[in-house]
Amino acid sequence: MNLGKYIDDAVKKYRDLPYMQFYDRTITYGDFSKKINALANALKKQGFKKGDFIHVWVQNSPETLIAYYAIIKIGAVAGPINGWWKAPEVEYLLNDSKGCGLIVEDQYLSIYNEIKDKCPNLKKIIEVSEKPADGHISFAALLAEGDNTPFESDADPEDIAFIFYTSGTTGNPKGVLLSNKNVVADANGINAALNTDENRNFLCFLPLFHVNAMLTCTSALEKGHQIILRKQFSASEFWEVVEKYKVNFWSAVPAVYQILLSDPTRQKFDLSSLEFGICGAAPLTQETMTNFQDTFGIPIVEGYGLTEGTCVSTINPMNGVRKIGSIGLALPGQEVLIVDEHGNEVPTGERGEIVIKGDNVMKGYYNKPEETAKTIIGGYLHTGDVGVKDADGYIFIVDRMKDMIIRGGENIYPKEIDNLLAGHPKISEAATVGVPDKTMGEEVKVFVVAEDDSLTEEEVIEYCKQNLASFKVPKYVEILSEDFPRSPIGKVLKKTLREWGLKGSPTKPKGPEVTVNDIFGTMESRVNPDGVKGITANYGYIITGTGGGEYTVCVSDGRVQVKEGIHSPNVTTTCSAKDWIAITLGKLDGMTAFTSGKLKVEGDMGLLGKATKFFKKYTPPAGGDPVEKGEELIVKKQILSIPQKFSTGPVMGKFLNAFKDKKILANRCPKCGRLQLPPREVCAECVVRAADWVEVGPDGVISIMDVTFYASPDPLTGESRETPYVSAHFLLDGCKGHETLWHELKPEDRDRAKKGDRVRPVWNENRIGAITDILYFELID
Amino acid sequence: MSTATNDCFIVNGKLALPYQYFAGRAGSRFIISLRDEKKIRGLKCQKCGKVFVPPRATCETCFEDICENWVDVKNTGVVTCFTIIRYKEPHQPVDPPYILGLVKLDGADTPLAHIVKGVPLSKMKTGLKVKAVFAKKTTGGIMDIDHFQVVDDKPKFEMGYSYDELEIGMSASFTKTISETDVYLFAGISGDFNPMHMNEEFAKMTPFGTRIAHGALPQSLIAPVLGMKLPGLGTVIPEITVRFKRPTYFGDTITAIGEVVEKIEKKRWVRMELRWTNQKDELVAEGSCLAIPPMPFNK
Amino acid sequence: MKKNRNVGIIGVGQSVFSSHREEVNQPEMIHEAVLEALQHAGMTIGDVDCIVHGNMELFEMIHQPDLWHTLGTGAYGKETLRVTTGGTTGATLCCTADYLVSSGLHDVVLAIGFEKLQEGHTTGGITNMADALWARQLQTGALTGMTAAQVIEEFGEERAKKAAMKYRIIMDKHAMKNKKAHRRLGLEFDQADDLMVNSPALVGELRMIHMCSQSDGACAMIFASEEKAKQFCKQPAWIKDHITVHREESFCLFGDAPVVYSHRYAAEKLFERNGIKNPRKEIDMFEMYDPSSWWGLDWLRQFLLFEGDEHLKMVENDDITIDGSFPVNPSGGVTASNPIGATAMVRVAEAALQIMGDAGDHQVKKTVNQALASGFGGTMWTVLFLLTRNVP
Repeated sequence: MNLGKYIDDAVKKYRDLPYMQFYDRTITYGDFSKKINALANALKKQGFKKGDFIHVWVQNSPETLIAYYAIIKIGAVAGPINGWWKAPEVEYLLNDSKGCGLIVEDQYLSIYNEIKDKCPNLKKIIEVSEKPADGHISFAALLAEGDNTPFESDADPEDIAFIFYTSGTTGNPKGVLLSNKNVVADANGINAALNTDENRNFLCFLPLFHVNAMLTCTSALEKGHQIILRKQFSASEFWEVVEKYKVNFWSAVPAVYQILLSDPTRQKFDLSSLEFGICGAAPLTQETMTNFQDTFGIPIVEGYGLTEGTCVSTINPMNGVRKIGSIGLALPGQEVLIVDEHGNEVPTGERGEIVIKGDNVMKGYYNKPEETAKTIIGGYLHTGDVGVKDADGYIFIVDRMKDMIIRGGENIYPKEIDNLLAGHPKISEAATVGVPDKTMGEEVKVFVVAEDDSLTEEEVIEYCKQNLASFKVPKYVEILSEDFPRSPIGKVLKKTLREWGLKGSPTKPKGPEVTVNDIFGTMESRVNPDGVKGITANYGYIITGTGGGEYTVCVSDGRVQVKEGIHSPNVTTTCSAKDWIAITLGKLDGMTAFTSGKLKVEGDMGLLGKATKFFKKYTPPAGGDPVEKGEELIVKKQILSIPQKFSTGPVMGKFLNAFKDKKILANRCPKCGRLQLPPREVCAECVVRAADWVEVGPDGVISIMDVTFYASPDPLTGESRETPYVSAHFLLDGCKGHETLWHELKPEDRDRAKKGDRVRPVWNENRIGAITDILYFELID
Repeated sequence: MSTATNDCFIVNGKLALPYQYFAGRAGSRFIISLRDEKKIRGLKCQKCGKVFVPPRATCETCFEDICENWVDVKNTGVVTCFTIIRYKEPHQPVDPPYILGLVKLDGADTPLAHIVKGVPLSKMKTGLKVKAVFAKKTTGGIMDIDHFQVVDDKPKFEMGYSYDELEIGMSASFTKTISETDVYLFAGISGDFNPMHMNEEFAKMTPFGTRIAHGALPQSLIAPVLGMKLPGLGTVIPEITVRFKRPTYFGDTITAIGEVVEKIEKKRWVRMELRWTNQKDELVAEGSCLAIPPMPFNK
Repeated sequence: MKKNRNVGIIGVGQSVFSSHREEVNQPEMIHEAVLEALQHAGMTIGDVDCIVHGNMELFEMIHQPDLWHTLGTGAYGKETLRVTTGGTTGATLCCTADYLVSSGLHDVVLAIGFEKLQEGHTTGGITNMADALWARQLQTGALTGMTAAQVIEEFGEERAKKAAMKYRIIMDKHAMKNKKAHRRLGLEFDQADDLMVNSPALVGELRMIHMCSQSDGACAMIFASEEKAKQFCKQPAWIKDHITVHREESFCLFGDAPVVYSHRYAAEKLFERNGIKNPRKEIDMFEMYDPSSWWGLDWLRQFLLFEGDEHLKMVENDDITIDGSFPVNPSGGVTASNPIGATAMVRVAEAALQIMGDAGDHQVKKTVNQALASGFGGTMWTVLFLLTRNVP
């Protein structure tokens, strides 16, 4: 059975039924076949022979498929060109395949013209357009040549039908050679697995230059389905198209399902024709699958395959158990095993590489025998994917082998973390990659796109801590401000994320890559000898969040030692890593952080103030804010002092002198009788001279207290008084209410004292006539 | 009020004034130029053309932002105003007495206050030229210029009068006593051992009766007049004529005089009349010459 | 208040407020504010007749900085006046400018208040301001826990602390909308409980989070006579009245003393003079000088002449938010930015901006017809300004 015959058989059965609906064009099976034959004859006349590589660079349209099948019918090889590729990539492809023919749509001519001089093998250019360029053969003309003689393909099943170039994640793209047998086998397999009725309406919007669309359009032939072909996926017209053409099913990639889920326009349309959706090419998160199925009430049938295996090798059974998260069972006609590094099948439930055997396995990579030999071993296609089979034979993909992280000898599968985090309500999607680490070899970093902007890195790590073994918990988290870098079909490009590594997304404002480790690690080399002189203390630091750690900075004898962990600290500072780095770089003011509680301190706070002088400024290893780097700003610091003389005046003088006799005097206004303490020349109310003196106290009562916790240091001496201390208003005996004396309470009485308690002054031995002649007031028990 | 003023007393204290001063971007660049490059820079207002040294970020009259228009000014300048500090105070940079001057550097339009040294206090006056002396040990402030040193303005060479400066009637002279030694040395220099200069016995037989000096000797005394006094340094004499009237005896004191008698406009030369007289005021010789006065050099 | 002629505020400029203005010296920083004010008014420095300059004396440890600031202030060739009245300097500058214009002496006066606290030693400055014999050893200035203790005693610990913290968070939310504000911490209401415990205590219940910042910054305002104001500006903020009250004894009158607060006294007199019977309804917004959240809370009662717990209710019911019925400090207040010499002026400036409709993101939504602005300084010095939208 070759493809040509496959097509002809179908045409015989369904001649007058529509094969394709392309916008407003309807093409019956019969029409389709006629055009294929016409083109095949024309190509033959053009001189194309069996085995020639003829490339097709035409966007989704009937012409694309006609071209493919015509080429295959004459025994040549159809080579689709990816419509998203740019000049260098196409140039590479054409020179790798050395194809001699090209069927190209006019929209790609600009790229073609750029490279045509560098592609010497191309001999004939057939253009699909209204008005082909000079030297190009008109596709329409070829069709119109009119020779509808049925063309029977004499191809051998093993003859190559297609060469599909895969966009490699490592190195250059490779041409996958698919034989007639491959395509037919896989088409039969998918039809058997899906087991749909005949004549269903199938919506095809995936690009025909990938195997998925090619295979579904091919397999549709056998069932007499009608293909509703669209140029590309468009969310805005999607539901309208479903309603208009009564679409029964489609095949898509996960990104499509996610977009459809978020589209509200579906409410308007009648979607009752929908039966199911196929999903493949990239992992479908359980969340998306469940949401979609719940929202639309139709099942998603997830499958798996690769271009090297023609298209699909496993799928969840349509009418059987569909296991969420599984890629299903092997397609009829194929054998799918999980093997170890020696190629031996592993016990059920154990992880290993997924390998495939069957008629669908490619012939090989074009002109790359070594690569082919590495990929197809002993008849089995090695997929490079890590999977596990359950007792029922359902296969689950664990990860791409290339994406696996090896941390300190332990294998970590990033997908596990990705899937876990996708279930967090604030996370939209997560992608985990390995980043190089000196100690562990690799460390785990997860890039996250948040659903909710309030998501913090700490929350991500916390969530992982609760649900994963500790060695799997990511050390680094980066919340991206934009979407992931993606391939055209929506796959997250983990390769790019790995390149970003620790530095992070390039759209992030570029700061120096400072880590907490750097800061603590360089402390000993940045010690400022004047700052640490005379201090003996242990400073504990608990740095939380991604990239954090625990450290103790031990200061003694003018030297500093930084240890990991917390060791008998005199004062402990707690701060998040992000804030700590910002404070060290001067981007966040330490005082502000302290005030708003971002920086918490326990223990001797006075010691912490001294710590700011310990180290010279930390400069990040490279880069740094360009403004800060180039600009030096001159600052002049001085502590001047000027002597002061304060004249007490006679009233204050008398008052202070009375202290020498342990007397406290107040003066009284002759008019209103008000006392003033401390005494003033004039009564504030009556504005007359307060003439009389009255002795008050010396005992009294606490009127109102204030506990002061801070004390600013004297600028000249640098000393500050001990805290906390209590200042209070004391209402002395004889005074009525206004005239409180503002002084200090004995520190030891602080906790016991309250308003209304009786106090007495404690006098200084040496009294000179100053307010300090009273040391403080103490409670009278 | 039973309060006597002797209740009043004084409390002594100390007021601490810790401060920081930020020079700002303009100020910092100025100081950094001083410190690192030993160059003085100012800022120019594009509108009014005023160059501010020390630089300011704004021109106060035009109210324009000028902080990018840096210009170099010279290290030399002129003292426009000064005072002498004689009292002592802890914040001074140097011990008194010292001169505090306002120095307007060449290229600047505003003066800069700084210490001036290099001249005795009593000789200090405005208008003196000064040059910046940079500090060996820098502190990142204006004292990175240590002081301004007064420079002597006199040129090493003072050229003679130029054509325009010469006036008819100007004269100059030179006097010297011709000794026996001069004559004998001159004989050696010139090779003229004529016995009338060398041999007294022979000279007795000449009309002069004793030895006499070579004529060229007294004649040469006009050279210092023309070449060093009038016109002076830089003069070239293309033509000189002399008529001898009397002999010069050993011990005679000869005065050579030159006087400007004509200015020749076409050639910008002068003609001078020359006379030689002795101690008796007798005319020893007379003559004239053409003199090419010195051209003013590029100042 | 009897005036010769009306005075309108037609231009407001503020420099960036921050604690790290290291790249400018004092005149340059002032220049920023002056340029902005001139631009706002649509004038050049040549249109200004007189410059009034002020800050807290000696806070940068420099005397009479107005002399060497001429480069930044544009005072070259103009009449100038210096004002320094402690914390209220900014507001007193506005009073001075008002007197100069309303008297007829000048048509256009530029008032500038500034402070570069990073260059000085604020606590030293404040300490040196107080009576040498009494206050030097003990805490001075705005740092006192007595008001907090009073409020707690009157209304109960939980309610008082919650109200003070809510007030603080509302102020921060306002500051987040003000591009010029110094401290924008991004606080949320659900952090209140955490902050009440975690923010370090300074004095009594006064915590660091309640306290105002120390900022560098300058503010410039342009006052013009009625004729000139109408010529240059389509909606000037007219100065209806202002009053200055202070009491030296205040330092010893905290606590039980039954003496009228200078704030209440000022408010009573001002409202009486201008026929305002119900300030809560007749005033549309208030820029209050609130050195700490406790004082802000307490003085709300004094200024609005309340008794009882009206003021607490205003905070609890979100009346003081920008969208509330009586917005207080849409700029974030003094807790957000405090360059002392400029702070009181910023209050008047912000109130003026609200009337002019130029406050940007923190503009109050309703039309502001009457705005109140207060200044505060040592000895309970209160300056209260009444600004109106319509010509008085």
